[in-house]
Amino acid sequence: MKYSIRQSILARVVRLAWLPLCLVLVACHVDMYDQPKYKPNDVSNFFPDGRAMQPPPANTVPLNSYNPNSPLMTGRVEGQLADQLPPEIKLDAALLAHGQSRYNAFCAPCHGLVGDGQGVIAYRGPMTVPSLHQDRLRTVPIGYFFDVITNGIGRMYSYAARIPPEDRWAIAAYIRALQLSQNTDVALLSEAELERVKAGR
Amino acid sequence: MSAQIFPRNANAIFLASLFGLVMLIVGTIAAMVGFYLSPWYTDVGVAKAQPVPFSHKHHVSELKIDCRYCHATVEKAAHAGFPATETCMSCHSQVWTTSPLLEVVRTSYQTGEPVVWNRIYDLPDFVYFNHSIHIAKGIGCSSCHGRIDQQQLAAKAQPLYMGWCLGCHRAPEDHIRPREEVFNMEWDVNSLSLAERQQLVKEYQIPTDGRLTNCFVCHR
Amino acid sequence: MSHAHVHSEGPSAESLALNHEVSDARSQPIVWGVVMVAGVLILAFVLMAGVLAVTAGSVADTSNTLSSSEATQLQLPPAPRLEQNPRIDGDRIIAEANEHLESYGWVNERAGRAHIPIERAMELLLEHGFDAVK
Repeated sequence: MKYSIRQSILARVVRLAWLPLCLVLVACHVDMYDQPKYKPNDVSNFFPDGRAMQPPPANTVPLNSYNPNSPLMTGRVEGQLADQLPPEIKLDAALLAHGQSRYNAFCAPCHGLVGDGQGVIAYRGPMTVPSLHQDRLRTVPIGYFFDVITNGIGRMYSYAARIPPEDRWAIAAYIRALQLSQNTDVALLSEAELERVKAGR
Repeated sequence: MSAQIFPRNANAIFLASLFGLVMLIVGTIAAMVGFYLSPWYTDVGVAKAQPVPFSHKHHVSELKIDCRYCHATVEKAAHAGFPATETCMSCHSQVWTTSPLLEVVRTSYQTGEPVVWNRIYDLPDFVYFNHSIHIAKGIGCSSCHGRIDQQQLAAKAQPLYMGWCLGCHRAPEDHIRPREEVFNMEWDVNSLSLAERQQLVKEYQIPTDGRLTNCFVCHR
Repeated sequence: MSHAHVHSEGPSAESLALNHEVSDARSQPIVWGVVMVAGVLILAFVLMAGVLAVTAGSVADTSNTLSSSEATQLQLPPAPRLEQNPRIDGDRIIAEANEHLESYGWVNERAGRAHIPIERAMELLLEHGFDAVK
């Protein structure tokens, strides 16, 4: 009995004797590593411009209910800058939190975390970045911020390629929160907060 | 007396040869495994020359630019998103506008010819890695990319062996962090206790029943 | 029989029986060794003192001899300056901005305008809508 068990274990081990041969195979087969397919940012020998990622042909639009002229996509209502968020975007805490993370990633390098135009890049670079806390920008319609992010302004490039429209609206809403935080009417604050304002901390 | 065919030390030579043969085979295999694990093969920590000597250390650590400023699709797509020339130019149309190091970028912006960078991480084509799900579930950039904010020229931080992937898929609580710290390069995993991290795993609904180690999770 | 020969014979029978050496080590060479090391040290000190006494007189202390007007000139020029450590500047800008975004204070006391923490501003914005900004 014992003998047969030992024999079967031995047989099992012997059956695995081919395993070391895999070591020989490892170095040879790379055809599955580099399959004939394109991944993002690959170089292409097929397309004349050498890119695997082809820009969409002119006038391409997504499917579904996409409307390039809607307030959501343009920041404008009948040609005028929208003074409200488009109906698809709801102002809530999640939108502002999302806007904050986008603002801090994309805008803060130049405009500063506070929005005063004192970002790290602005500090180093040879340019003057306007503050968001000026009367002109506090009174412009909210669509203005969407429009600037989408199309750029002055020396600022368009961020349309990097920030999707929904995120642009979130940033615009967060800019309003930033503006409020730096210019709050003390009538809106509680007694305790007023004390802290006076104490300056 | 019959003549001796083999000299007196033949036995010793035979034994030594046997021993040497075994050691040669073992040594060769050990050397191959060692080579396979070493930076000579894996390129870990070996910086590659690039058309523009871009420094993550300067842009991330010193200029405090968020990862997403350039790798904009990392939260939405499988691919982190390699910045377009336009992204470089959104600052470098103002800053270092005459630097010869950036000539390649300016030419690319004018002609539309892409800058061809050298890929650092080349995952095998049968692995379908998705950045966005890892970001969404609280795995930070530095968990895999190391302290890229300390590197001048980018280099691999991980050889990307499957065992390494599985290590985290088996025990995500060893690497998880709060979502808002994902892009924090200086985050230390041990700043949360194991219990807190296990709580995060539960909160982010990361399956711990072994589903994450199924083949089809990464291979399709 | 010479002295050395006795020592080369190894431990005595008594030592072997007790499993340890019963005779004392010879103290004379140890004492001589210590004395010689001390002598060399003293000699070195004396030599150094002599050398310094001869040469040190000609070495003038040139540190910190700037007049106060020269020291003033070494102060940093006004900004903008070359950056010594960009990382520290970046850290400082971020830290100051975050501190500002987490604190209360007056912006324009006469007009009744204050700055408040951003979290609170987000709450107020949700409460009062965009009109609160104007």
